Amino acid sequence: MSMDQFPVFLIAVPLTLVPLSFFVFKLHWSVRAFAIWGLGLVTLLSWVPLTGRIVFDLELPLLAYMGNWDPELGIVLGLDMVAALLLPVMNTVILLGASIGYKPSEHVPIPFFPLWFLLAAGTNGLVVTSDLFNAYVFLEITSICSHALVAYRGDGYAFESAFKYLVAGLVGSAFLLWGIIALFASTGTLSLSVLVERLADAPGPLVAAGFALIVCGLFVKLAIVPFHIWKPDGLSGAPSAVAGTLSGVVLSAALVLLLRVLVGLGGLGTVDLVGRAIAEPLKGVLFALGLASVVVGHSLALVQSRLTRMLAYSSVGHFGVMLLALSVSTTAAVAALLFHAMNHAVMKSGMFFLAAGARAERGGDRIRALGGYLRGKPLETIACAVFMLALIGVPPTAGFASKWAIVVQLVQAGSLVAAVIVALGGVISVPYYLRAFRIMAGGTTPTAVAVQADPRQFATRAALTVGVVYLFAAFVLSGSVFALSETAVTSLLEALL
Amino acid sequence: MSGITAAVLQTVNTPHIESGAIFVSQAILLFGLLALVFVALHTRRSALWWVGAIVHIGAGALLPYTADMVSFFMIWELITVGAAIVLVCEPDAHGLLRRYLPWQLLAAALLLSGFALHFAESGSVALPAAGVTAGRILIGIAVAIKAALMPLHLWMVGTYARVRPGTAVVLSAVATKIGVFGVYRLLPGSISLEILGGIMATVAVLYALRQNRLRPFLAFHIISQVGYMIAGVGSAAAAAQIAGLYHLGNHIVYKGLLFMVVALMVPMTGTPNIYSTRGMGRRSFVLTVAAIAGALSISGVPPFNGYISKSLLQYSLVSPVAIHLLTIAGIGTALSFTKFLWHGFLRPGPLPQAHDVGEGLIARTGTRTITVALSLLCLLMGLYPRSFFAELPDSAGITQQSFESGLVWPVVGAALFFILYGPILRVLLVTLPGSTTVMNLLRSAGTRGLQLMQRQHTGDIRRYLGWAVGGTMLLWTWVLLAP
Repeated sequence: MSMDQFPVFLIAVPLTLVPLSFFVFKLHWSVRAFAIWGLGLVTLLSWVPLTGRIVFDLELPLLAYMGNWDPELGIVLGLDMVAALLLPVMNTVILLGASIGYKPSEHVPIPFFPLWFLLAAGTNGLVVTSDLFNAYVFLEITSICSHALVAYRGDGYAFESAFKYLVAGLVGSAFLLWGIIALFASTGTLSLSVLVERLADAPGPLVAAGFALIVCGLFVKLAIVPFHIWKPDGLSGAPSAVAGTLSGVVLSAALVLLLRVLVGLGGLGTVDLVGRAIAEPLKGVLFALGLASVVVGHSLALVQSRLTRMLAYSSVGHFGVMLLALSVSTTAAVAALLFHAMNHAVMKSGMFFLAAGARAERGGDRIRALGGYLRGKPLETIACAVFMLALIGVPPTAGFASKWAIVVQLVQAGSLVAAVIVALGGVISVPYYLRAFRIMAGGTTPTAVAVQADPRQFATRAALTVGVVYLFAAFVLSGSVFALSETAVTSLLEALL
Repeated sequence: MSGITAAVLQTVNTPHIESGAIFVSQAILLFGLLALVFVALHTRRSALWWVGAIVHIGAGALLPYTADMVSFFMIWELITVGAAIVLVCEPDAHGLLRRYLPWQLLAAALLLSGFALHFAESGSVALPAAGVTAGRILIGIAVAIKAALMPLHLWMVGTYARVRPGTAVVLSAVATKIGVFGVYRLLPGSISLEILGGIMATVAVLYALRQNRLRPFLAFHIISQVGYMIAGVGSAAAAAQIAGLYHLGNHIVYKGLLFMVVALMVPMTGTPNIYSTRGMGRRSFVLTVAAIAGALSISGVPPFNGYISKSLLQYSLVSPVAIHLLTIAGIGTALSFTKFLWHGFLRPGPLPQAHDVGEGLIARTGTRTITVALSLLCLLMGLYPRSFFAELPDSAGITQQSFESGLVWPVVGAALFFILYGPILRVLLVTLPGSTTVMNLLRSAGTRGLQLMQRQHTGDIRRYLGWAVGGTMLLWTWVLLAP
């Protein structure tokens, strides 16, 4: 069997598991928990392309023409190096997030497993699709699952969070859809590979407007200032396992779409083909918004009193850093961005998973109420320290390697201001992480807080271990990872053509 | 990685031997040893303190000989580590480290980043020489922090004024001087560095003039003298670099001497306030002589050593602006130290209640012997400069003519103290922003900004949607209007 049809399985397997998992709810809750291993299967599948590429010299991209239709009309799934790099990270995070988020009890308020399987199908589809409308559909599937999962806890605060996330997400989707419509109106196709050829002859203003709308829609999904609004509210109301998965997986998937549109279609920086410089005017916007995100995200994280809100704002800052790298848009800069996106997925979801454990024990995530949480938990303490160091950007963690690569690219591109602001963002993040760590590791448990045993401690610990190992390993192997992500960036176009 | 290792191995065994490096290293080593003896005689210190102080001074004496970036960075950090150990032993260790370490760590990070950029561009671990651009700005900022360049000086004044007196003597010898040596080794000479040094010398003197406590007063004079040195070693002219290095050596000696005098006089007068100290002249002849020698040296009065380096600087600097600025700074220095001598030593009037901390006779004799030795050293370095630093030009030395011309500006400064000090002080107090004022302004601006941002994030979904739609509109306009 040719490997070309492989991308289909990444979507079809979790999608098949969605209806199947409804039957699981009839079973006893202790048996039901094993349904998680459906996600384990998907995760296993997601590792195949990268392993194949490294070990067996598998030829990427894998292009699957669904139903052998012409690309102009049909659906093409293309699994290129970008997808091969991000899929394993994303699916592993989904598996760990679901394991932590699953509460083994008789009563489950909303179908837990179908939502997670659908989330996996949506994000995998978003990463491997080569068709703009498909991308929109998969993004919507992902969003709807995320909205439902944010509301999973079912209390008032969770509903408010989910509502805000829903409204903002719908606005973003609307922008995205309008942008796609504009591109369709000007070229008559939605397949990325055909779009690339036709964009040169398309009417300029319409294409530019379409691009602007798509970028805005994705900015909403990525929570770039001033579209960042839903993030702190949405992520702090969600169960932290879900919040970790959202900030690690869903945002990374949306980032891949942004890269496909800006670098692949828009020819931002990396390609000098004639008529492909559509995204060039956006460089200034990317730069300005990236700068604003770094400043606003890190500053506001400084004054948060709740752990998850703090993490959410710091995420805004990190995506600002990635946007700055995109504004430089040399191959090395975009490769550094990809590497940072992978690292960010791991370290930020790791912190959220840690917060999930803390929340389960303390019944809340106010930093002051978490006093002494890390006492007598060596694994959690080490993991917390490593994640925080990685988020700040301190060696020897992968967070340092990618941030450093971005800063070097910024300096070499001559935007010293941006490099200084990124470094300053790291410096600002020191006090808030240090404060949280000091309280959690050194403080005493407030008397008013009732401490409960965390039922999912094993899953949390497994997730933290995986994260810590990844961050050190990726630092040691940063040269090879960087080389892989550089080939990924050069392949961004090949997957479409 | 193996590339770096190979490059390090190639250069690490060949130390950087040139007369400037030897002179700086020997000056630090000689004074460092005297300072350690002084402290040993002066007060009891813990074993840890000695470890820190010896590491600090030893690393300082070693740094000039390094030839590659790796050892330069490591020894540079060893200096910080030594200082940090010393500070840990101080009574107010927490406050001191909070003031000292963040700046030094920032400097370390910047230096390392600058070196990394330089390595990436040049592929060699040799120290960056003139004409290399990558990383120079980062290295420059790191060196500026270490040299306590004016807006980045807060770590120094804060630290030196709060440590115990003997510790200030030890710290004064190495930290900022190493920053100056960094300017000499790592940055190419330019007119702008000359002018920067001149501005720094002048502004710091103005700040020193309005201090009323002894150690902040000396700390600001360090900054001012560092300005002289930066103007010298930062110059493109070789003669000016030599003069700047000689000034560095001179400064280590006389500023150490002055810190020792202050360390000895504060327990005797019982106050660190310049205006309240008095009568030292009648109480200790030896200290008076040492204070006068130190003051004459720093003011550049012939035949003391400060005169030699300052006059050489005046002749060899390229930029006339820098020369004028240094002249003004020289007048200010003379004025300032006339104030110090007058209030502490020479002013007539009733003696205040004597304070004596009960030092033993030997310790008393020993510490005072060291001050006398350093005073003599100041004189000898002025009389026979070329036997201390052979690179100095033949013209360096005291002649009848230079003696007279060298006296003019110090005398003007001294006269200004007696005629105009009141008005000058009043003007300075009103016009110069204090460092606390600046910090408060920055802090309140920061909090204001944060509050403003926080207040915008009300959680109101309509407002948020307004931002999203508004942002899209702006972006749309931008893209459509873009050519």
